[in-house]
Amino acid sequence: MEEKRRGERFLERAARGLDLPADGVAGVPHLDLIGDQELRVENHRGILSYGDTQIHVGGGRLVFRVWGRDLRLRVMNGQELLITGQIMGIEVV
Amino acid sequence: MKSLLHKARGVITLTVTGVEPERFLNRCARQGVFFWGSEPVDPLTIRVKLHARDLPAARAAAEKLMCQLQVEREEGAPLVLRRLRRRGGFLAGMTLSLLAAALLSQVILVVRVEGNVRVPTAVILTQLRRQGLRPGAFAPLLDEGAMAQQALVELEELAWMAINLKGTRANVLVRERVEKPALENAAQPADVVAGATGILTHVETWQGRALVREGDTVVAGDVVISGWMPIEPPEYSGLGELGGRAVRAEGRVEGRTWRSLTAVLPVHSQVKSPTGRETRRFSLCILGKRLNFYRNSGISFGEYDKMTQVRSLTLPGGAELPVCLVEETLREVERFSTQIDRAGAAALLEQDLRRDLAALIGDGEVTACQVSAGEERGLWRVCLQAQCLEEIGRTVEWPPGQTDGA
Repeated sequence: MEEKRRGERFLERAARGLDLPADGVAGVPHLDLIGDQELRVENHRGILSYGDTQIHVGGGRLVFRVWGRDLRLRVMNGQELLITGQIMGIEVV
Repeated sequence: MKSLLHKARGVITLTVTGVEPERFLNRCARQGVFFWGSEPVDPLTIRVKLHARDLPAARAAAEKLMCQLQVEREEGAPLVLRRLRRRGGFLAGMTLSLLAAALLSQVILVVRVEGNVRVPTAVILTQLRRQGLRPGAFAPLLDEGAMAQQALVELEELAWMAINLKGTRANVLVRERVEKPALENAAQPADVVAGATGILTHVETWQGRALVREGDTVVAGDVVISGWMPIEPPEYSGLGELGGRAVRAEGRVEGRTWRSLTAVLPVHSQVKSPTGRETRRFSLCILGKRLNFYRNSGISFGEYDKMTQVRSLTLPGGAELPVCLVEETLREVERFSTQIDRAGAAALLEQDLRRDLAALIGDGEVTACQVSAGEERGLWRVCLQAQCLEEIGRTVEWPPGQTDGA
């Protein structure tokens, strides 16, 4: 596991050094926030907790906490997910 | 649109209860089970929607994660079909209805003919019926081109025909053949003869030799302008006749004529009178097939009048459907002899005679007219005598082989 994380960090650093998008090269999560109603997450690693005030999204070595009101996981597949509702904050845990 | 597609595939709303229901969502996402509309019910329960075909995969995932899966609601086409499977009669009826709608929309209900003036529509429809185009025909089995060609062969007065099948309607467009005008053979020698007996009032010769002059009396058939023009020898030359030249005589010959026309009508006539006994019978015609609503087709009356009234089913646009109710009224009558109304008969016959006279004199005019009526041997006779001014010249070609005139 530790070895895998080291590999991810190396890829991240390499992407940064080569001026390449880290989400494409290293599979780092990519978040798109559209206004305060829609959050699209690519390269996620699954949902860790699900409630209507907060949702924890796994992102490899990172965890994102999305908090707000009436949050809903609209659609989800292996690569992407879409969260809707009144998004008040996103926090990297 | 998306909702319709979901409904077509069947939508299942289910709740997943477990210690970590989020893992169920993660597993479904990894296994390619498409879900949407998820919402947390409580910290241990999530409600989610997915397609009916993904339910077994979702069940397996829930079982693997030790979650409890409960189907809350099913909707969409697969559910309806599953319900219908239990109601065989309804399903069969619906299938038959759909089949009937699909097939009946291909059946010709109306045949409309356009573009004909001289050729009656009924004649064209009868010919097309022989070819197979009639109300009730199945459109996909018809070959419009072949039918139109065959109908053109049979109906010589038509020059062109097109059959357009549009749904349940067949529009038949026709163009009639233009009659070839009668060609006058200018090389054929001819005389102008008197078409009627009379006194000539005007003779105008355009070609040929006039044998009469104004004021002469001619009998029908007399040559008025001859097509034979003799060549006169030079004066004082002492030469005999030099022969002649045959031409087509032309000219205008007007004369005063006296026409006498007679018409008769029997004084006693057989008329029919209803006895008061009548019977009615009904039948229904659907796509040309007749369905009688009576058993005995025999008629007990000795003499009867038959009146048929056809009530067709008509669309708001005016198009008649091939469904009609036929009502036949048979009214018993008895015959008896009675005298005709002489004044009425005289007026009727006079009207006929004047029409005949107008046809006889063409562009001519009637200068005096006298009508007399009287009974003679059981006949009511009306006689019309008229003095007319009319063109009486008629061109009569010489018989083949004749080369010189009289």
